[in-house]
Amino acid sequence: MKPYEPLVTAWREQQRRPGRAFSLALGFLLAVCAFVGFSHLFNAERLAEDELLKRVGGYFAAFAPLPATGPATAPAELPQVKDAKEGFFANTVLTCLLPRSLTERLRALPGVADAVPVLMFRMRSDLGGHLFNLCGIDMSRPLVVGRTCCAPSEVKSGVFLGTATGTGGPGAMLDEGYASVHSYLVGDRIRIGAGEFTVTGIVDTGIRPVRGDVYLTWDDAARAMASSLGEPLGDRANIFLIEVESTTKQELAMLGVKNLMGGVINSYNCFRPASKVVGLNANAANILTAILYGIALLFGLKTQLAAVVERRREFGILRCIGWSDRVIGAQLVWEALLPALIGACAGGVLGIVIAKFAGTFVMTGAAAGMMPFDGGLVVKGIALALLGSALTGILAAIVARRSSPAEILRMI
Amino acid sequence: MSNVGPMIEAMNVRKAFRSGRREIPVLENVSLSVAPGEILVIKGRSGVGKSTLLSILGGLDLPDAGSICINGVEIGTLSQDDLATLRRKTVGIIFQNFNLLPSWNAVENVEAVLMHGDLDMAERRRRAVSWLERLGIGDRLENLPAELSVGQQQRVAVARTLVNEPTLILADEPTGDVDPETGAEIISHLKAAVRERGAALLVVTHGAYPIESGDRVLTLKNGVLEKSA
Repeated sequence: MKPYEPLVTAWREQQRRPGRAFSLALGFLLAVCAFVGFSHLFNAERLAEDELLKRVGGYFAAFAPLPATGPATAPAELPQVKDAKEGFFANTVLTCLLPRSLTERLRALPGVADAVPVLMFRMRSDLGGHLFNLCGIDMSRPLVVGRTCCAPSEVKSGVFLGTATGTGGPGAMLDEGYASVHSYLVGDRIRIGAGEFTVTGIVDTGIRPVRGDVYLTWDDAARAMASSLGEPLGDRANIFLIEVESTTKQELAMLGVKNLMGGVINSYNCFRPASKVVGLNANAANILTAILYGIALLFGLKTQLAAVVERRREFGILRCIGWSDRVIGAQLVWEALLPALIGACAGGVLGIVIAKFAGTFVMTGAAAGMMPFDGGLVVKGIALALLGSALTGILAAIVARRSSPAEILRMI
Repeated sequence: MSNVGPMIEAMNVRKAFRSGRREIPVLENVSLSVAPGEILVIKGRSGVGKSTLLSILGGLDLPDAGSICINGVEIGTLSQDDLATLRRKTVGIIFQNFNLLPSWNAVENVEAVLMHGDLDMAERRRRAVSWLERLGIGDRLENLPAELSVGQQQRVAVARTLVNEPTLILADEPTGDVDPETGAEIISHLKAAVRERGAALLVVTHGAYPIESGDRVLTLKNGVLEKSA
């Protein structure tokens, strides 16, 4: 017998028993269709949610509160401040100054897309004596800064930090609230530390992990802080803005950063519940698919075993005329595989069609346009169906092998 | 009859079936041999164990005691795979109730025996069709067994046995369900296999098979094989 002949014989068997072949194929069609369809729908939904979450929570700020505990936070003498209310604060927490080179190590962590250092110093104004937060921004990564701290699109008047020309000196960007309380307008002069700055822009950043009252470029801020403290800062930062690769990796990134810095992570609050919802949906899809596959496999196994019992005489005759258990087993496996293959292929195609069709009705907004065809899902669905059906075929072959041909013939 | 060693030789074969605690002896120290080119007819009444003897000789069933050699090979020592090979290459069995595959048509039933060999599909089909035509049912190739008369089923069973040109043919009432004319045809085909190819033929019958066709005739009675008068 040529190697392909059990396949030919198995195909003939499907034609001899079309009802059984159809019901087996239908079972796998439904399972694979559900798998491919649901997976595509959930993938599209996940992409949409990811896109949404990216806009609201795909980033966070990390800092190490005093006293330092993390491996990256080498003990460093903090500059002495004249006023106890001044210092390197993040929200209400006094923080360590960390080497700016830590940025590279943070960027290399799993789940982290990018990182930028920030200087955040609470200081007292020489004019009026009020406290304000001075934020020094590393402008080498404007996109990350834009997503995590302040963006040009948030400028209410004037221009974004570092883009003003012809102002006749260094520029400062002010938070809208701060500017309003202290009556600053674009073009006004503001004294910070020992330096004089021109207000080049007023910005409303909304809710952000890092929010200052006055924004300066990194070098300007470092100089201003040094002049206020009376000593240089060195190349150090107290906050790192982290952008994650995706919201689903946010927790991984947070864990890595926390392990490295031993710090506190200030996440945008919306992230956590939203991320959990994404996870729940994916889990629901996986469980549903597993149940469907289980049903299809049990149905396939039942049908196969019923066929073996029903065809005991046939297998007995085949063994009487010299068919080996191996060949009968191979044929049973092919008989199980063929309807599974046909059903699974049809199910894969149908699943995509249904997902596309359902997507236009079920999904709205960003999700409606996000239904990427994932060939890998179809292949995975078919492979799972084939694997399961091969197992049922092997079980059926084991059952068939147990019968003695003479005994079968005697019983019939 | 040939003078070479026996094609099949059974020595002191015993077989009993159990029904609860009761043992029902079927074969008691049965010994026989059939040489190549010889026809041995074993007659006996229904239920004396003729079919059981044939199953044991064909390696389908195991004896409780005794030995069976086919072509010099003790079949009790063979694995299931080796027994399958032996049945495929050496032994052809015609069953009393034909044992055709119910969902396979006539030509597929005959081809089934050849499927394990080296023949390609076209050659297998050609040989199967040729045998069915020789047995007069060339016009019923595509019919399922259920669509054939008992006599036609008998002829399909004979074709299935002879198509593989076995050197040992074991036949259980090969002419039991056919008219005398068809029976004679079947006998002539079986005899041709013996005379032309030197096959050994062992026929068990309760009387339908003409015992004069055999070179030797034995009677199975109460589990014991006796020479016929």
